[in-house]
Amino acid sequence: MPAERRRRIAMGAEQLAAFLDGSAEMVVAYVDAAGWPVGTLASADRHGEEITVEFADPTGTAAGVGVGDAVCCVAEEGARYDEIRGAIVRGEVTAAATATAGGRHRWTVRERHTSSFDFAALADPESSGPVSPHET
Amino acid sequence: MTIPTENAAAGPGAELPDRRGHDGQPPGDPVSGEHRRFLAEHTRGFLITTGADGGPIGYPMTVRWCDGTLEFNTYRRSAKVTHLRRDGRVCVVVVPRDRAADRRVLSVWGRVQPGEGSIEHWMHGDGNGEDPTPGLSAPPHVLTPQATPSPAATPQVATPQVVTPHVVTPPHVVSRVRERLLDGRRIIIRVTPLTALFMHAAEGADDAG
Repeated sequence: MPAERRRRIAMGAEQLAAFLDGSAEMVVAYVDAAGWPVGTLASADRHGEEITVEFADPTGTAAGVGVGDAVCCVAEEGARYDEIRGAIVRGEVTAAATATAGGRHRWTVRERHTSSFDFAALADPESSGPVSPHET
Repeated sequence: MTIPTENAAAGPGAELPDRRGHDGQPPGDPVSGEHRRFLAEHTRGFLITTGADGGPIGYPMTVRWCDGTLEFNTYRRSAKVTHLRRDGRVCVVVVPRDRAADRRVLSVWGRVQPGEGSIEHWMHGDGNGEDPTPGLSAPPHVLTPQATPSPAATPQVATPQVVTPHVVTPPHVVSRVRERLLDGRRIIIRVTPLTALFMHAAEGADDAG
């Protein structure tokens, strides 16, 4: 397969930080005791390099996740194609609490690795933008 | 028309190994008619899989409900395909783009299917509101090819204005994704749903647990 020039569509650092700071909802993902990935929508609040997520868990599997366990938080938004942008944050739980009333879980997640995309870079077929040699 | 799926792409005899939790059942309830109706109405999905380190990774994706399976398309050489070859168990979180109109969120658990996936559903809209978007995925480090095959080397495909319930995909993007599906650089990932559960219920609904 011939090599291709590819366009980088990741957000810049400041744009990414602002996007995450402004994301009030994220999909939070974890792996349950049987090894199945589990995801649900959570309210989110970012502070520094940590994100606090809060969510209900009708599956009962989130109780098995504790401090030090790996989780992933995904934010995405956009009503128009060229407005779609998002970020995938992989990290670990640094604090976990469960409210007995309603079984809501509240985790604080330390960010370890974040990747992002901004479809604005794809909207113009003629634009070239920064080029990365890396393959996905 | 068919193209190789991720399983065939791995080579003859390739499997989608499931190394962990063979005896473990996914969360959720059996897939119901209400689940199917929801999946038929919404295309905004988050594909949750596990990475090489065993940790979770989520990818925003366009998801389509086709003939009882969930379908995605992505680059054959993408990281998510590598993850799915390693462990075919997934969770797909479907979130309506218009949350004010529908507050429900559905999580679906299933396994990636081996075999060949048809790109027919991704090439033509049916004109009655079904989303014909080719499903541009949004993986981390998405790097969009700039080079395109010559017209002579690529089958000609009509490029209508593609409309999703809430997002209009530019024609040049639709055309490029279709070219990549036809030349095999993009593939169809099919997921057989096993269980599902509304994680957020609409007002008054009681199936969120």
